[in-house]
Amino acid sequence: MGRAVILNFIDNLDEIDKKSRVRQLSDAELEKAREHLASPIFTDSNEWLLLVEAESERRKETGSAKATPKPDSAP
Amino acid sequence: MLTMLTPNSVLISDDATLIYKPAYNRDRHVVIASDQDDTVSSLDTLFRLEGFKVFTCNSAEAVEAALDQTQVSILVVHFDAATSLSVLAMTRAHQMGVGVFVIFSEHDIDNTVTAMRAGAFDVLKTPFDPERLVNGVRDLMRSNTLVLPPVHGHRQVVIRGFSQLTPRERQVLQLTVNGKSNRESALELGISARTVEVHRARLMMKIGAKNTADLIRIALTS
Repeated sequence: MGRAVILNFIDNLDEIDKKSRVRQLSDAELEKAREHLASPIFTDSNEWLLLVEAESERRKETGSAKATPKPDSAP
Repeated sequence: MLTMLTPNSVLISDDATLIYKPAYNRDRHVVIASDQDDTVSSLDTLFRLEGFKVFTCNSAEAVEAALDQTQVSILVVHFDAATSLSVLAMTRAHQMGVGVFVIFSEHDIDNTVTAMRAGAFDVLKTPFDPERLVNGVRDLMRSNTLVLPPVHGHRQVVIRGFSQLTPRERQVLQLTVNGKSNRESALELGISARTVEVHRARLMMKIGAKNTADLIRIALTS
């Protein structure tokens, strides 16, 4: 029981980790990532594309542009 | 982090190695091999977001050089069918334990069967669902042991996980499950048989094996 709780807790940390990875992208990187994830070699929308689009939307709504790219950030 | 959370952390840590966590990916290398820029950039983005270190190669020779230079966890190949199959065979010969995903542009059952028999973890056809690729990678990363397809009637076993073991202990475990005696393992590793015995005793203690048969059972069922 305790172990399941801890692992669920870590799963949630994974979601936070994914979102924070997307948030670290600059606006240019975010746009490039969206283009690449929407590539014709992929059939459907995917988890990362949804996250990138949600972040893009959030930045438009809040006006929080991120211009400075991090040297080691993806992609 | 788990160690701080609970006194049963050793047990939980062992289980946790079987659970895919992107946080573990930062030391894992993915090679994307394709001569198509669109494929390379899309897969590069996907795997970087998953947290992997990504190398891109646009030829079979570049893949060979990458395999020589670094320990690769995943290889995604998307060339024409013949080149993809030769890269798969070359990868098998170079580094055991690399999870190879082959992407074909055309649907061809013969090529798919050939790739699977040659040890591809999965074969995809463009366009494909990226979730299938990511889930395949997650499945691959969860397994501690990889049993390769039979070659001349012998199935090679690759030990990749068991994070509690040192690299040397993992080598000794791999040789043991592949049927090598202490003396044969010692010759292969260039160390004394007595040192192999010590490594084997330590890894059995860490894994919780009662004897060699139990050790092999644990490794193969992991």
